[in-house]
Amino acid sequence: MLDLAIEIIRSIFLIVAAVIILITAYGILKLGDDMKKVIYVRIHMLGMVDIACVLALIGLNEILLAGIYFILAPFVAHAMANAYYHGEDPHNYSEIADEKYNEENKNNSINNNTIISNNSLTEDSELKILNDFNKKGKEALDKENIAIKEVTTDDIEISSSNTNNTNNTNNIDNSNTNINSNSNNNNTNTNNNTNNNSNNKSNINSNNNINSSINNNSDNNYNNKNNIDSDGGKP
Amino acid sequence: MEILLISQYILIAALIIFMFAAVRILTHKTIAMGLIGSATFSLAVSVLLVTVGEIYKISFYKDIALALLILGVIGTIAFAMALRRN
Repeated sequence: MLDLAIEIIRSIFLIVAAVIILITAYGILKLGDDMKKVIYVRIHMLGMVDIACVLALIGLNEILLAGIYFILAPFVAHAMANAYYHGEDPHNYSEIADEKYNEENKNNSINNNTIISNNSLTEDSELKILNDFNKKGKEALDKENIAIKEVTTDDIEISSSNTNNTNNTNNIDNSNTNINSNSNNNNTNTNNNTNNNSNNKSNINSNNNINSSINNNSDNNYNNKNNIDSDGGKP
Repeated sequence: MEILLISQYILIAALIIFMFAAVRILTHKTIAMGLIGSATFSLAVSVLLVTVGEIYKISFYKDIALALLILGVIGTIAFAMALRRN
């Protein structure tokens, strides 16, 4: 009589476990990927299956195995959730941020090229446009939390020497001009603008903050701090 | 006697269905999904082995199930720790 009761109890355990497992399997197959943070849902499902399997192991008269897994199962679930939260998720977000940043900077670079190619603009209006442009770029950088690389003045000089005319004589020394740029293209554009204003012969002594943010590639983020000694573009 | 055997077969069927669902999780592109899928799959296999060993009186199935259960847990935790460091 007692054996029969034990067998019935074991059978109930097994059937309950089977029902929980079937419900979980249905949930896994039904659950789509369009939900945000769907991984946590699946970890919860795994927890359900863990308990169902503990019940099944008890029903199969494997008490020690059930006890071991009952203790270990929460550690597994926590380890997976923790790994996803600290490991994989930021990488996914950074990829999305890079895509957005590339799109924004593509538009910004097109606008900047049209601005610089227009020689009829006055110096003040050019600086105003550049400042506005730099604000947008800075906001984009702050928004996306993109790391900024430092570039020495040698890099700026090399890039400017490649693009400027050979007749130009520039005295670019130490002053408080900061050029924050995100690409080498931007460096050349900024220096072209300065040289156009100085009629290819300039002693620039200004404290203008020229911040421009142009990027065709999100990996080439530079923070250029130039000290340019100029006379404001006047001969 | 019969009710226990029937319930064991029901459990086996449920576990086999669940293993397909575990494979469905395994095929997702992210690493964490693969981790969850493998953990669930190894658990289902362990319980299946214990059940089959109970029905057909194969004693070493229990040993295999025990090893799979414990090593599966250890492997999952270790891989999760490695994933977190990245």
